[in-house]
Amino acid sequence: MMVTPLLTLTQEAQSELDRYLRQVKAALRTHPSVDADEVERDVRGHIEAELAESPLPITEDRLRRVLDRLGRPNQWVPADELPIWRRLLITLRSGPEDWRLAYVTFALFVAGPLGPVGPLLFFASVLMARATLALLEEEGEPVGARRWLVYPPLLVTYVAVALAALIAVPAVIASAGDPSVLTDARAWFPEPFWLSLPLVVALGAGIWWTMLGLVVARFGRAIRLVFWPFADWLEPRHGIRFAYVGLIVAAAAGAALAAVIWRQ
Amino acid sequence: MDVTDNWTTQLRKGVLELCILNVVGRARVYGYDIVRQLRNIDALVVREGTIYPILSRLKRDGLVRTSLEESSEGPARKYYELTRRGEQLLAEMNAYWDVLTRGINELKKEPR
Repeated sequence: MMVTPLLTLTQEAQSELDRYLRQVKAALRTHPSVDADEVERDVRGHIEAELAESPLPITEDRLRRVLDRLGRPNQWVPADELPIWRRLLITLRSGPEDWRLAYVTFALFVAGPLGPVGPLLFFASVLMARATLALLEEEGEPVGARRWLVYPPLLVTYVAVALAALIAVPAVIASAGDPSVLTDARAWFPEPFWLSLPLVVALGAGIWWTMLGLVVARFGRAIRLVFWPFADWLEPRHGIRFAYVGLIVAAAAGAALAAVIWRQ
Repeated sequence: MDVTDNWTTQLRKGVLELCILNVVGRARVYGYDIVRQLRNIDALVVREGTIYPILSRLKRDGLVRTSLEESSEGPARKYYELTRRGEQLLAEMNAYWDVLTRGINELKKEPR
């Protein structure tokens, strides 16, 4: 249900309110007995009712007093009612310096290249890194210097996935230049092969990037989720721009290829 | 946290649900009003947000139901009221509470 904002808040207060409501949903979304969306709406209604008599715009200080009385959302539900995996995460995380989960993440990442179970450990480090960041976000804590322990497995994975997505199609086309991969492929290319191969690769890359750009523009939320938290800035316009780049590359390569064929 | 703090925290958690059901049982009431009424119980010091997940759970358990009603002061308000099952449970809980407090009060009396 769309909720019509009743209050006018200063920009700082609005950011604070948005951050708080995000924490509400994050803290409750994994709790099976609670409807996180409903509670979020109730809390929003509570804040509006509480501040209804206040002079507008509502300042951050005034809002903060209401939020303080509401309390931290992650403490609303008793820990013994949480799912086992969240209790485990909280136990791991709550060390003397609240850095345990980050250390575990990094240890799994470093152990990744070792032994036959390395890939499994690396995969576990990626999951642990995302869980750590989700927990910190839920509790409204900044990642701070923990980023040096938590980000590495994510960056390695995300860069690999992004590169694979970008060069998958061009790389397959380029493999036509290697007779051990595609023996008869040379016959499909116009002469001279040394010139037509890069042009076909560029044409394929351009078409592929156009499609990727459109996918980003259409399914931005899913892409942001995959590359979380590094792609929060991604918007449909970025996908459209990337699609244009792809289109330009494809058009240029296509024109050059047509010229090569026409000269034959 | 010392022993007294721990004990009062546990006790508050236990009675909060009973208090919420009693407030909802008195009349149809909207969420913020429940919080306001509970504020009047000095010993029941809880973070106010705690009440909303409990209401959500009571609704899921079929003990309360909600209805939206237009308000002259702003957006529609969500009102809570007890279901038949909620009324039965509240009666049982209140009866149990009475027996418990009566027993404790007896224990607190001077020995004969």
